[in-house]
Amino acid sequence: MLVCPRCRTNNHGTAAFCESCGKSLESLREADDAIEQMLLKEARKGAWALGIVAVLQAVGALIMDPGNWVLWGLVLVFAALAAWATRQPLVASAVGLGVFVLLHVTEAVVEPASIYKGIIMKVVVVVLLVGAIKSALRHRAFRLERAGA
Amino acid sequence: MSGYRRLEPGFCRSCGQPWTPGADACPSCHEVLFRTAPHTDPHALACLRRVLIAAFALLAVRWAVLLAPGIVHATALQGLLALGAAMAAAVVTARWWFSGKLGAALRMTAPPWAWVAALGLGAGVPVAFAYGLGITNIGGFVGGPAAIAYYEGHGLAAVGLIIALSAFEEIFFRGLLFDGVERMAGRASAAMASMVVFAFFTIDPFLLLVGGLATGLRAWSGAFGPALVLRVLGAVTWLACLHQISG
Repeated sequence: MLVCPRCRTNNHGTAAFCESCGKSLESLREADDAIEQMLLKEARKGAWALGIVAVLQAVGALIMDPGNWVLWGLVLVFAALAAWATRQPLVASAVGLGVFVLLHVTEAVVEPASIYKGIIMKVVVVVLLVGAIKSALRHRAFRLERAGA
Repeated sequence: MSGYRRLEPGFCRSCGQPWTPGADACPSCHEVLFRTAPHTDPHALACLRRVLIAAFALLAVRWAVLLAPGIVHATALQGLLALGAAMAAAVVTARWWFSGKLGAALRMTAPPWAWVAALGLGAGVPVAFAYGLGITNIGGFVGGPAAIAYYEGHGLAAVGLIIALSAFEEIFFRGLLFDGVERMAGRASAAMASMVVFAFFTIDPFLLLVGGLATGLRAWSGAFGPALVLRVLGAVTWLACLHQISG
């Protein structure tokens, strides 16, 4: 929603001119566009987090067991999630976060000492993904508000 | 676009020209007075959140079954029972936690080609997989020699559980999860989410293949029925192949 600075009329989020007094709202609309783009960019950080996980999984697979198809399957899944997160940040980041947490909780149950292995990277990935989900939710709410829904 | 805030605007919001009184559209730029409201499903976000929580809860059960002491493999009867109970609970209680219309998620009406494809793939893929790849080479998975011996030992109980579990899995992954994601993010994302979560749920090459085909059928036909037929028929054919191979 755009509020006209001259007559204070509430205008549609995509309006270029005030529907009441005709004043140009282009600068306000550009500001809203910039906010929307910024939120989308924040939401797409989930793709970076998932990409980092894919690269780390690939390095791990190369070092530990290059012939293990399950490890390469994980690389593929996280790479696909990263690509998906550039288009649908909310769902991809949520699914990626769930899978990542599940994998590491399982690893911790099987081998409790592994909790501390790469703990900083695990925390960074979780924080990035949670941040991406929050930004994607804010982006969606902002977009719906602009559309007047 | 919900249209103008006022029924009779003073100016066009698109070009800024004075609005002609009584006009339905701007004479200069043809911007219309009323537009159809965008499709905004009020349940979409709540549905996505709940269905993802349910999916990861089921994944946790599945992996707990895999790791539980005393259960060597999830094909053991206790594992199957635990999984079946969790899946059944998720599906039976869906009417309370699944926001929106359950009927739309579990729509059975599909074009004829989808049913034909479901029957063909359900019968053909397990046969091709079993005899083409040689299931005895896939040790440790559903078709491994230990699993064959296990199914033979438990007869109808294991067979019934496997078929029921396949049906429940389809209802959840291609019905509830697919629809929950589709409402929020579209069909391609729904297919992706369904396949990724199902992949981590099964961790089995045969089920990955059948699950992928079922997801494709669900996405292209727009209905859940053919995917259910594909999975259940696939499970029955697979068990028949196991029985024949193990002699």
